[in-house]
Amino acid sequence: MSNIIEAINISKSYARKEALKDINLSVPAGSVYGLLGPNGAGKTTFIRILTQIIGPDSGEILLNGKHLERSDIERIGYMPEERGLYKKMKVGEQVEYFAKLKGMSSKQTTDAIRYWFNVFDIKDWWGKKMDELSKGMQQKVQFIVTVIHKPSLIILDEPFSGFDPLNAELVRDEILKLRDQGATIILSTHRMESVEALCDHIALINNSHKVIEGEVHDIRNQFKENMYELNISKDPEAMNLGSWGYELVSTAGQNDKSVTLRFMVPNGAASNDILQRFIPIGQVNAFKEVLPSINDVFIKLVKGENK
Amino acid sequence: MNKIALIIQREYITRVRNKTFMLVTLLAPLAYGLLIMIPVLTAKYADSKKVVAVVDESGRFSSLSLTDKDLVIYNPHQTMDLVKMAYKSQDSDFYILHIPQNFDVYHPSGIELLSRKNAGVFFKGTIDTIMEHQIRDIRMEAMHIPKATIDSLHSDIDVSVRKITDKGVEASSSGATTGVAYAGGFLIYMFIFLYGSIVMRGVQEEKQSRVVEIIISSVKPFQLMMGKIIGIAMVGLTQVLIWVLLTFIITTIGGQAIGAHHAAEQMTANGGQRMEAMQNAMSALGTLPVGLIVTMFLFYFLGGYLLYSSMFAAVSSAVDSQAEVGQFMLPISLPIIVSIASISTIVQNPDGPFAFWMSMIPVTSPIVMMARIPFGVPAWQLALSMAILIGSFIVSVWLAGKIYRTGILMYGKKTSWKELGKWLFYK
Repeated sequence: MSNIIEAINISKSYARKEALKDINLSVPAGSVYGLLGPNGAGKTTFIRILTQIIGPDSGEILLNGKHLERSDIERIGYMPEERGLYKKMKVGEQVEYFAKLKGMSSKQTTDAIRYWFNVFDIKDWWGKKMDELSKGMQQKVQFIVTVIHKPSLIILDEPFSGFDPLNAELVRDEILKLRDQGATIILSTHRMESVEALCDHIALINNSHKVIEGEVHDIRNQFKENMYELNISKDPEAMNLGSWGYELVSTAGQNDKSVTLRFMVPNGAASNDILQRFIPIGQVNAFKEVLPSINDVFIKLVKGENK
Repeated sequence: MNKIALIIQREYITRVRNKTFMLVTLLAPLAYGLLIMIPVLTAKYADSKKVVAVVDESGRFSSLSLTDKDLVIYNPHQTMDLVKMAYKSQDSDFYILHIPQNFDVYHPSGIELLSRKNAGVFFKGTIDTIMEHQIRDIRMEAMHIPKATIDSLHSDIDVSVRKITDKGVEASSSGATTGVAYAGGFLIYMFIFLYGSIVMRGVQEEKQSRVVEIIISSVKPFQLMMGKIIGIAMVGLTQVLIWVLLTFIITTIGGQAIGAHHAAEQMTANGGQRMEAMQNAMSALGTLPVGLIVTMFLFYFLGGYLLYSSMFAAVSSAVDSQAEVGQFMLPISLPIIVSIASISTIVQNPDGPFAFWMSMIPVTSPIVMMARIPFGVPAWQLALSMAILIGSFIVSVWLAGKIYRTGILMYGKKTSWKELGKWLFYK
């Protein structure tokens, strides 16, 4: 898979603060890429460099292997963290205006608006002013403005903040649909759990540094702690995990019939071997390896960094 | 379509289509027209004839009587009490002019004008003048100067002001010239503030609604700022054009009413002279370089507007709310206020060094130069002032662009002048 974005040694400082330091990132084409990190880590600065709102102090951005040009902004769709559109402008005219600013012709604009107003079922809103719409409705328009010009790179800063669950679901579906149609999506958020399931690749940024980057699955595997979860119909007292060298982490959902155990196997073992130890004891209802969440990985890495 | 053209188009259309804009554009000249018409109309229709009954207890003013179009002075030769009784049955435009018995023409005091309502200041002035003439006549008679001689001493003078130009001697009017000077300066002042504050609000609106970040991911901040400034300038030009047209139409219609009024006034001796002075002023207006004034007005309007609105845009981008603009507004608008205040000095000496320098300094030149042009400004001064203004607004737009592009993305930070200075050097 080729990379749509290559960021090479990007640095950016503001008057009193270093926002990004020697950041190298590769965003694979056709992926959903999560740019994760706490508030103030430098995510928005990086996105603003991608969208050419600001320039880096040093370093280079390549789009499809070529130096990022001014004209490339027409291939990028951007939804900033702070949402907002013209309050007094009619929905239809507003979308039309932003589409044309992205270089679309009148004909293309009309077709695209018809398509998206159908998708979000908002055909009747054309003549309504923005401030007549509810917040949820405004968010739909905001999303349409971001993707109306069929960008090959869609950048969503905190995509789900402010969206109600229903709209968040709608946007999630549309993001995946757009990816399937060939677009690359960069999601930036400090709420890591919200995008973990959605992202193929992630980069963790902390304190203007890149902490880690890679496929979500690989990263979680890389930091696995040989933790397992098992549901068994047996009293936990009757099991002597310690004698096997396992460390019990927690028990949950205990009742007459079954209990869920979490335990670590410090020296590692094949999962089949682990399972075989339990089978003679009782009825095993469920068994799985527990990989650390991206959030866990992040905390682990940042703690390590701070030590 | 070119992106900056799209922005200009949006700025223009959303504002021109706005109901408030239409209302103001249509009503302002109407209000202006009414303002001109009201004195004329009230003079014509509302003012009834004033009647003054003279009670001359001194017996010195036997010749005091007048029958004019709107003023009758007569002496009923009755005592004060009787006149007062008669007065009760009269309407409110009835006055009693009381001259006391011991009235001394050499120490004139004690004359009273009695009426049910307050006599207007102009009417009082008219009575004052009439009485001054009467007393003068009495004093002259006391010196044994015959009435015929006194009459022959009187003359009405209206010096006609003429201007020597290359084409010869032309009619002129210092009143008309001064009027045009004030009007030109004041209009520029008004438009800079009016449209400058529209730019300021527009920038603030985009910043507050957070739409700005989406726009500048499509166009450069400088394009957005310039598009807004140019779009609003076009709104301003449209508005001015409509105002000029409507004012022209309204005053033409109104002029006919004034004309009819003056035709009637011409019947009286005084009115004839006033009419003549009016005609002189009108013909003097015609000899002013109207083409030059209009062209220069458009130039200095645009130049001054570009200079100031770019500064307004820059400071507006740097703050979070309209209320915070205040700290930056005063220093920026001070030169505008200084220039409007200095017009009265300028018109007295339109070629002096003060006028010269004020019309060269770009922050004051738009207003001051407009006040100088009706008096005639050497071509080289005009050219220099224009060149300085063009150079200055290019620099100011460029600097404003630098502040703007940083400012519009800054939130929640109290901005200082020092901070603004730093933004100029950001990459």
